[in-house]
This record gives sequence, C-alpha cells and structure tokens, in this order.
Amino acid sequence: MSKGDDRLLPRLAAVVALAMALDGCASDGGDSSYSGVSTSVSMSMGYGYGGYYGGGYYPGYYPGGYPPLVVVPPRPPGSRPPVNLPERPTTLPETSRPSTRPAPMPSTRPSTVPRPTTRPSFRPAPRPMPMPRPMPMPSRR
Amino acid sequence: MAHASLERPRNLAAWALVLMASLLAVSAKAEERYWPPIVDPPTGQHHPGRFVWVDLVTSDVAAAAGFYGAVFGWTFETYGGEDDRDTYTLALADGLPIGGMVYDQRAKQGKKLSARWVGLISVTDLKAATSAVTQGGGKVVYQPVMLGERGETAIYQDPEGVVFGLVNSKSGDPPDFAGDVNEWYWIDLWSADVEKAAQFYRAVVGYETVPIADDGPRSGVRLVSGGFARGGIMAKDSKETSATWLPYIRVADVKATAARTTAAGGKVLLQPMALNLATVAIIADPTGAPVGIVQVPATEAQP
Repeated sequence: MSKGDDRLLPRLAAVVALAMALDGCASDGGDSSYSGVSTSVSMSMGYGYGGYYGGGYYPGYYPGGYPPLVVVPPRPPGSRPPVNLPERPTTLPETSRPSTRPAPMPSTRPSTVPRPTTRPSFRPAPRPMPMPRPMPMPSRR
Repeated sequence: MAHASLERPRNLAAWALVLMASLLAVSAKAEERYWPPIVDPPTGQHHPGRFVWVDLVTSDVAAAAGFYGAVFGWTFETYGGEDDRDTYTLALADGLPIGGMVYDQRAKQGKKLSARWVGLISVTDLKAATSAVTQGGGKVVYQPVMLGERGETAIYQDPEGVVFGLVNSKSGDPPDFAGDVNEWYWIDLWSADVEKAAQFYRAVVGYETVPIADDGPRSGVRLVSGGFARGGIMAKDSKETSATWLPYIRVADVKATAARTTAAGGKVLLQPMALNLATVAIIADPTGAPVGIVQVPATEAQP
C-alpha cells in the first residue's frame, strides 16, 4: 500500500464530515452527478424532503426526472377483433358487474360516520406556500 | 501477492465506511423533518395492502398546488424551513389530509422535469417487505426509516423501475371506506408484464390477485387485500407508454373536471370515457404529473 493510499481513509472521513456539516445548507450548487462517491452525492441525497423520494439517491434513479406518460386512446368496440368489447383504460371495478364480486370496493363513508376534518394533534405552524419556480431564460450569445 | 490481497479489503473497507456515513447522513436528515401523520386523529387501524397516502414529486410545488386547488378544491398547508425547495406541502380535501407535495431535487439544475404521484401502501412488517422487494428484483430507493408522525416508511422501485412506497403508519390507517368526491379512489399500475408485476406485489404486499380478463382485450388483475380491491395492474398497450402507477381522484363530474383542467393549465391525456356506470379520464397537471379522474354514481360507490 502506498503512502497516498494510507492517507485515503482520513481524507475520505474528512470529506464525509464536511458533507454532513454542509448538508443542511446545500443550495443551488448541489450536484447530483454520480461519478463515484463524492461530497456532492451525499449532499444531494440528504437534502430536504424532496431528496427523500430519490432525487439523486443512486445511479440510474430517473436522473432526468420521471418519464412522461403517453396515453394511447382506447379503440372502440368492433375495431379490434375478435374481442368485441371496449378497451378499458383502467382496472377500476364496477360493482354492478358480476366479475367484480370476488373483489368489491370498500363502501363509501356512511353519513353516520363523521369525517375527521378537525385535527387535534400537535403540529408545527404552517409556513407560506413555496413561490412558483421561474423558468430559466435562454442565454444570449 | 499476499501484500496486495490485504490492501484491497482495506480500501474497500474505507469506501464502505464513507458510503455508510453518507447514507446515515441522509437518514438523519429525513428523520429531522416534520412529516404529517397519515390520519389525524389516530385510528389505530391497519389495512395492509391499502394505498393510504400519495405524494407528488414535482419541480414546481406552487404551480401544482395552484392547479389542484383550482380543479379539485384542495387546500394546502406547508411545513419546513425558509427554503422553498425544502418544504412539505400537505394537501387537504374538505379539511381531510389526503397527500402531499415535495420539490424534486433533480430540478435544481433548472430543468423542467415531469412530475409523478408516488403512492404509499400500508404494510405492518417493513423489514420483511423490503427483503421481498430485493428478492423479487426491485430496488430500495430509501431504506425504511421512521419519518416523524408518518411512521416507518421506505421508497422502492419495482422490477420495471416504477416508484412506490410502503408505510407502517404511526397513527394508523384511514377507516376502510372508498374515497369521497375529490379524494383518491383507485390506482392502476401500467405494466409491460402483468403476471410478473402481480407476482412481485403479491410477494411484497401479500395481495391476492383477481383476473379481469372479461373486461376487454387489455388484460389485467385487481389487487385484493382484506376482501377489497385496492388497485389493479393492467398491460400498457404501447411501447411509448411508460410503466407507472396512476392514481385516480373521484370527482362529481368528469367532463366538468376535464374542462377545469385545461382552464387551470393542465392537459387532458384521455378524454372522458364511459365505462358502464362510471366515467373516467386521464389528465396531467401543469408540472406533468398524470392523474386519473373517475365519476361513479352514489349507488355504484355504495354496494
């Protein structure tokens, strides 16, 4: 093992300590690239609520965001033989149909059961809503 | 050679230490935040397999909240520090907490990213479920941690990369009723391989699956727990369509909701479509998150 390797552990430990210290104040500069283990990775991983859902958590986790959903319009009955039924865009059961009997939906809340719209437990005071995010302007050359 | 063989484990140990320290830093930060309870007041009930919470991951929380407020009448409470990108925005339908919104950290570079609603399924043994996720070909995005008032929670990707969460709610689950108007009512998984996905979620959550082959050419199953259908898995019918969970909000009038969607800056991805007694449509909010809307008659919702 070389002298440089011997110093690796304390250096990395220092990097981690710095990352943990800076974690609460990371801002625009947070980088979520994944060129190995680095301070930028740990900062983006631990930053705030949004980081919880995986933004920058590990390589390959939708680095460019979630893929957009493409919806193909269902074809009407008769246009797709041999099954002459409309294409359903959902698995939602309809309780009037016999096929749903093994798996009925829960019933809606009876009027005799009140909705718990008053919350008694302690919680922090809410803060103002986040501001809309301005879209970046294209740079002029 | 003997010298080299000792060197590698030492380096590996150093890297492992760094990685572990980094992960611990993440966990600690998540736990420090205020995460609202799933139900308030507590119920003490648990309904494993039920989707009990949904969070929107978006690059623009304010724009999304404005949309859902205008279209569904939701109200919001925001928690967190001064940084607008480090907040949790609680969504309430007629005063009842039903979900939340968080800023997508991947949008920091100024990209406009497509948003997504991520559903949380009730389980009672998160450790066993996490083991089933990895054994079934899924990935752990965020290891189980106790998130404030929410309870023990973890985030995963299924074998197709679809994001979902599991929660053992600290306050219990909501009473087992179907959603009212402007609340979550149903959820579908669009999958390239229905049987493989069904096998995965059966193992992780303990669902029974019921085929719905008689409902048309697009095959699928319903996910059953506690004697009730909790959601479904259906074949995505195009390679262009991404695998995803798609939650549905119950509305009083699908056509009127679709009209409000476009007026509020969203898009209608699937025009209103009658399904026997129900009517459904699929919309997207201005930040790109798809969501279904469903109108069911009162008699249909109360079998």
